[in-house]
Amino acid sequence: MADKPGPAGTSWEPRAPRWPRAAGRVAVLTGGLVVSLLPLVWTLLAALGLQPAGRDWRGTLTFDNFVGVVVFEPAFGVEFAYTLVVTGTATLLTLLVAFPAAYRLARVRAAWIDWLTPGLLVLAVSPSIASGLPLSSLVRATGLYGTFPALVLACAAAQLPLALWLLRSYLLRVPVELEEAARLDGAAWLTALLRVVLPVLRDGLVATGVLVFVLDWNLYLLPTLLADRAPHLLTVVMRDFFAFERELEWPTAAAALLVSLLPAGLLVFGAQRALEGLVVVPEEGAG
Amino acid sequence: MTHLSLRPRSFDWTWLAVLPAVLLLSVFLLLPVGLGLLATFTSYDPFGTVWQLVGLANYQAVLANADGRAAFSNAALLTALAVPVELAGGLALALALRRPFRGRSLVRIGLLAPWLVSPLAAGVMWHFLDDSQVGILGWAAAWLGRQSSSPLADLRWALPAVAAVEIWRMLPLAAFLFVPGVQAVPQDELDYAAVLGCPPWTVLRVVVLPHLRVLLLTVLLLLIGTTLTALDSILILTGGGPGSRTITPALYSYTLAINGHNWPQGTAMAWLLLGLVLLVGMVYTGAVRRQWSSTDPRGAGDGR
Repeated sequence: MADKPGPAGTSWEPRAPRWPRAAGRVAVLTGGLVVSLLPLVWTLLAALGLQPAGRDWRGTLTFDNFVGVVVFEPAFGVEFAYTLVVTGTATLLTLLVAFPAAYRLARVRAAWIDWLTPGLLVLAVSPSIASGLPLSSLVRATGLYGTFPALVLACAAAQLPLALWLLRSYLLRVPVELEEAARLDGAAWLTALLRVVLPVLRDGLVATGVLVFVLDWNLYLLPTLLADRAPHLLTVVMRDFFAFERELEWPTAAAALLVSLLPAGLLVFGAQRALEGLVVVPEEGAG
Repeated sequence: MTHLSLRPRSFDWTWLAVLPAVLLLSVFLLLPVGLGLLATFTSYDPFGTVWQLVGLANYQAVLANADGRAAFSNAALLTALAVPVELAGGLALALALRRPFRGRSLVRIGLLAPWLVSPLAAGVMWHFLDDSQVGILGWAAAWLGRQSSSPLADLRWALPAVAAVEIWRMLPLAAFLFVPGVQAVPQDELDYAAVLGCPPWTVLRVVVLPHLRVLLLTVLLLLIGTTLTALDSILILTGGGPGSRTITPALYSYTLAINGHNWPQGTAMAWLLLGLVLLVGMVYTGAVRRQWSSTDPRGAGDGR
């Protein structure tokens, strides 16, 4: 029998919520983890040389398939490095451009910002082919096809709406009093931004940076449309592995897949703490 | 609380901070999109020399084509199949993660793993995982003593199989995004509901969901937008086939422009898709605007 609520001051322990029951929770979590990770584990096994045959498994543990990737695609190392450079530069550029802008926008008190903010998210999920196709022809016409600057700027612009939205969301949680105190102490706007707000926002910048990096790393359409020539980006390389007549064996494809997963995986693992604080929506008001 | 200003009111040069962003967005996003729209009313092709105004001919051609119409109905079907599962499943996982336990943060990060795989690589992966020889399905079928073939080649199962890949990628991400919102539900409200003896479904509906309204809508926008504009994974999984069972608007636009060398129609298709996403976006904006208002004191947009 549950305790009846007593008058104020008397002890009353609330009965712990009966839902969801512990067993149900474990089941849901286990199911979720299995579904999420089993395909990746399967891929890892294939990359290491183990494949199912009927009901059993065959093959021996080996790293040959990873070597096979470079045999199949000799330029793989160069392409990996190039993708890293392009993605890293684009991410830094996005952050550099988005941070001051988001800071300025976060302090706006006007009706139009209420349209802009959700609008940024809508832009972020819009099909990139709508801008990619015309951009591709623009880039050809100006002779910038396949160049590093064009690719980096286009990728940076593609993630800018999301970065602005995320950073503004983080900045809204920084109390205005913090900067105003700095301002009252005589700090210029830029100093307040760099010395006071930036340290507080470190986690937000890291989280946004990691997400933007992953999105840029996984881009396929923009690189294909703007720079489909050597050195290719990794996603384009994977399509080439697959689409044309040089169709790949599963083990080699699995190995290539896992190698291209490494940077994103390492970054996310390293930035765990920052990502934990990722709040996509500011706390709801009293409404 | 008004913002103290120590600057003369004449020109607020802090707005310069927004300039790089505006420039970058304008040149690489807004300008191409605008030019693209104009181009859809012509027969412009970047590899052609002469072009002329054709009015709505491109749009008509795209919508008259069976593949074009199939693309939109497939997109709608895919969204209807995948998004509810992603939303409900994500919420269920997030709720299961609400109470702290040893290793919870690791589990939470582990849930990001499917999303980390690029859509293109996910397409490659699942192309093989659906395979009857080396895939998960084939292995499971062998254990059940049944024959199996890849669903991706089956007329009936191709689209659901594609939906399954989308769900695999996005459901864990939705869960990851829901966790902070679910954790922010006040414990005392949940306790009160428990004391009243409310069944779980009622607690969910009356206590939890109202606190998640904006988050739900935002994640919903993200999921719908991603599913409607799916291209990379489907390109590898089925290429749009069998027949036109899995072609999507983005894929069709891509195929028209790149392989079919029909630039004007490809761009027209892209703009139709963009229009659809903008429509969804307008509904979203209308629904969340007040909640995030910077001027309404009840909004969370710093309108204190």
